[in-house]
Amino acid sequence: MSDGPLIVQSDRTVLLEVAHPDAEDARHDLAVFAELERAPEHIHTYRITRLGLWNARAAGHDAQGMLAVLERYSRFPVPQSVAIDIRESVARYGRLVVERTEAGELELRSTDAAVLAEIARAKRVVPLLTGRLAPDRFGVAAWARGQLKQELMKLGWPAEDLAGYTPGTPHEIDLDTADWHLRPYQTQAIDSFFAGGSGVVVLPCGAGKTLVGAGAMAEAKTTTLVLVTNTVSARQWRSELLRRTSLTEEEIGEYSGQVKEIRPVTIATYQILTARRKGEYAHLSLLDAMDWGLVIYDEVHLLPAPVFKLTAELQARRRLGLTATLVREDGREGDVFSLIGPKRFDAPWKEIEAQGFISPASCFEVRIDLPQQERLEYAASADDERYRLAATAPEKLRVVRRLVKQHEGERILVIGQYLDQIDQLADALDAPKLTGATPVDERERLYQEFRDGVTKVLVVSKVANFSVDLPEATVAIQVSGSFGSRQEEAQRLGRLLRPKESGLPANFYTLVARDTVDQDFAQNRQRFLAEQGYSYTILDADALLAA
Amino acid sequence: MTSTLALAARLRAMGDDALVAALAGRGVATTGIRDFFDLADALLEPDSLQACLSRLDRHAIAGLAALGERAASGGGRMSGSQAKAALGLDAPAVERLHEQLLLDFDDGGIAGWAEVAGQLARWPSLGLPDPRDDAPPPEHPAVAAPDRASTDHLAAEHAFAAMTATAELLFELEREPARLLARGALGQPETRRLAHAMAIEEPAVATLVAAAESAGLVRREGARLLVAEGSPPWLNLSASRRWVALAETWAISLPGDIRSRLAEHPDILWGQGLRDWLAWLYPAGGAWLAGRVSARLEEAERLGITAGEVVSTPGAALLSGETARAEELLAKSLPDPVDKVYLQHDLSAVAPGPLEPGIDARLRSMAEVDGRAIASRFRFSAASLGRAIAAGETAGSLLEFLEEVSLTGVPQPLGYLIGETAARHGLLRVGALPSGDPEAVSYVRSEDSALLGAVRVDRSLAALSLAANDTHRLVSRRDRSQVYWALVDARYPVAAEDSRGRIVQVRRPVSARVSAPAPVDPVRQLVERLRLADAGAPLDPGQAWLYRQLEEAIRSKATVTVSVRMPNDTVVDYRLEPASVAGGRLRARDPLSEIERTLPLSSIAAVSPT
Repeated sequence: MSDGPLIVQSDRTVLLEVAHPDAEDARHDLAVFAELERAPEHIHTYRITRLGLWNARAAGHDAQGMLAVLERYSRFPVPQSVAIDIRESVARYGRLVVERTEAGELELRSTDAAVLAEIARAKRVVPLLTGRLAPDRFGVAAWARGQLKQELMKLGWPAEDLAGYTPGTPHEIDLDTADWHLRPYQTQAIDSFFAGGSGVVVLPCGAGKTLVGAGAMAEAKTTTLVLVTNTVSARQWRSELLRRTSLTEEEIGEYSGQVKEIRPVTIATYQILTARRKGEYAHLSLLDAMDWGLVIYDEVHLLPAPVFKLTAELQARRRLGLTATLVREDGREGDVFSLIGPKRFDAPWKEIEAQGFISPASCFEVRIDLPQQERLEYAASADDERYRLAATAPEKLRVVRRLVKQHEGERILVIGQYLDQIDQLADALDAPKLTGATPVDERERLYQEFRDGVTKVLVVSKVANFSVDLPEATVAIQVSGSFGSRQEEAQRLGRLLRPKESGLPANFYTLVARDTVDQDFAQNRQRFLAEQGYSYTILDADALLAA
Repeated sequence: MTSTLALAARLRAMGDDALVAALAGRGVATTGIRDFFDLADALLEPDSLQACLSRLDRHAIAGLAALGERAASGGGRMSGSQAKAALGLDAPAVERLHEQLLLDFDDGGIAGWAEVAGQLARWPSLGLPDPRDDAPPPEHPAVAAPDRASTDHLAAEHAFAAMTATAELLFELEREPARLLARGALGQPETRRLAHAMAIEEPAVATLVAAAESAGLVRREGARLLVAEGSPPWLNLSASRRWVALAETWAISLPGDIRSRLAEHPDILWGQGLRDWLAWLYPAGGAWLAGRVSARLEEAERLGITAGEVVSTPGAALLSGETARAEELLAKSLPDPVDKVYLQHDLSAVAPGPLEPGIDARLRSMAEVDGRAIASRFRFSAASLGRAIAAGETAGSLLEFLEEVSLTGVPQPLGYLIGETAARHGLLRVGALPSGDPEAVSYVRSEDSALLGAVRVDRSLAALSLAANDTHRLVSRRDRSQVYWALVDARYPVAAEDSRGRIVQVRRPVSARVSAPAPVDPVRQLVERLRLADAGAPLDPGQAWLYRQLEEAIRSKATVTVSVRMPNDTVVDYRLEPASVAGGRLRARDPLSEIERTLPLSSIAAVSPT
């Protein structure tokens, strides 16, 4: 029994003692096959899942190596049930291989007759196969490559896809590195992606995922479809590509609700892809409009369900997923694995933060006592009204003013959920506001002014949460938010994690009405943020105002 | 027939508890039985005997066959020493068979039942071995060079998991007893609840509950499963000692010969080899035996006595009765306990190893268990801290303890939570009002009239029907417990108090669980019915019993000993074959003097089987 930094438990969790001298080495080796679940300051929790093991297997690691890592760093003997589970799960990946015959037809091959017999009996697999080609292989319908992989994943036999990709129409793309260069981990992510074929690169907000995308495009030098979450994000991708690559305005098209351009590099929104007209997806032709050699999925954890279905038909094209987290609120991580591809690169937030590429953020919760009258009103209200009352408590305004004053000169985002409240905040702070009703051009202008420092304080609704790059924000004040969603929280914090040229530390405040449902949601938030490794301090509003 | 008479007499003389236990062991059908004679008949029926005989080992079966044949041929009783010498039945074996109502045993010696011998004589025709067949036991395959270290490692893992799950079972039952079904088992919802608390799969719950019950850690009371008095001391034991307490009762419950065989052969594989040997030992065991062996093997694996069907080194020591050595051996394979934890900003505490029992118990009193394996995780909340404060902790005592056990100090959010919870705890007090007024069963009081005002208008508390009593007091028609928990759920800083104003802990009311009816034991009901029938006969109980005995003897043409009280008060015994009872007289043939005797029933003092 060593005195290692890991405790491997029979429930498949692995605890990492952060202060242990070998913790960094152990973390590095463990992250290959275990998913980080929680990373509070002292003990990090990883979980060994089938998907994690298959991701590792896809990256070339074997069960023996993974067990060796656990045994090397484990403080107590590795539970045998865990060892058996790892061996069995890892052995499941790659028993089935999707590849092409010499004639270019798809086939499913396995050297394990029992596995082949099992899957050939599965009701949902049978319609995807065209017949037995040989004792060890079945033909696969040309259209069924993605669906077959999905079904095999559900059966617990993930297939290795060696059927290759269409090269796409060649298109010259180079990185313009006159005044910048890719960071080492970005280069590593691009290399890992290309070595693996298709797959997902996991990088925290602010770690430069867009540049990984640009790097991949420069490597592939082919027509590329970039799928993003919304129009603002599409415009940011566009400007980033213009700045960082040899691409010109004429070569980049936007395919969104506002504009429908198809060019060698086309940036489309998920929304437009999933828009229906008379029950049909009206913009599917985009997928075949060009002979795309590369499809990039931004924020792959937000990929809407219909896009999975569309993606199943795009299996002949090389696919790159970009995300800050593999965790999906809808639990469809398996679909990401089978349709986009396995994880090809993953860098823990704190590790990149430690390298100085993203700034550390401090989190504060400010507890506000409701005045007597509001307290009574809150108590007398129905459940559905209580959250709004707590979230929009007028007392919060005083605290926001105080915090804005405290951080005077810094760029501050004030975030709210309710439009009335946003109006009040904007008036009280004499700051511009940005909501869902703000036209895209206006949004662009406001963001730009904020980036340029013309605007120091910006009041935003949740529309500003996703994929908007506001690198100079050093303070975020969350006055109200929608029910403590983890995803939303990650996005809000992500606003503050971008590299800061100012060198100022980032601060994230949330304002909470004491003894209300607001506080319950705050509890979830505290847990999530602390689990992500951020320091968390609870303050009393009275003390803050008196200071 | 004499078997029926003798057995009926014995059943009638047995105490209720002993009779219930014996009948439960025999699994007798409880319907259609009017009196002890019917019961004796039912117990001597071929199916009933076969069900019981199939669970006996071959030594007991051979002994019973010999005793039964002796009875059938009119042979007399055997002494205990004769039975041991001639039949290999020692005193404990005789006692067990007697408890199973398979033989008669009193100061006069041991006698078998002819019906038992008759049933055993039919075995070959039923495809079962001849009870006298002296086939040698099969060889038990040895494990090929067992990997002792690996076996012991895996067994220790199982042992640790069993202890951890058992501890969680006890904590969960302490929090809320489990409801039992009428047949005494746990229902599906309760099994699910316990499995969740114990962090094990549902099928494993029954095994560990049974082990805990055998070890005196849990007990049954009516329709509920509760923690027993043995629970707190067990929780304070070291891990290896806990294991010994659990596993020892398992080992003791094994039949002696099986235990000693397993102890003597630590290198044998418990799987098929053991099954073969037991099939030889219990020649009619069949499905019952197979089920029992599988269950026992599973228990042994789950308790860490075996691993991969090979007995572990501590397990072998335990089976040999060397408990101290077993404890010492297991302790070497278990992780060392820790006495420090990490306290984190997410309000969790993580113990990087098994916690010392005292620290574990204290942490549980102030935080919820959030995960339990080798390392355990706790989570603090306002509710858990409020519970600790209600139990007598203060902010100071909580912080002092946490600072002492923390490897990294107390994080600010946790310190804040403790301070705030302690400062606000008990701002509202809930108490019971003297009974009488149904509109004012309990009260809520506070010096903070604004807080009380919010409580009064709170819509989520409408069900409490709170009404102002004075500026600082509300009354409710609900009881203290209901009011207290409603306020807790609505996040008010509430404490419950007794009539002297002292803070007390209040358990959350458990819907319907407590009022569940006690399970009905059909066997006990049968015994009660038989006693009533015995006492409620038209004749006095003694006369009725004599009458029933004579009827039974007439029906089966049996010879019985009839004790007749003479006019001079002496009692004379006749061996008679009763022929009829009529007009208050017994007519019977005396085979010795070959005459027919007629005796007034009023003179008959007793009838007993010959």
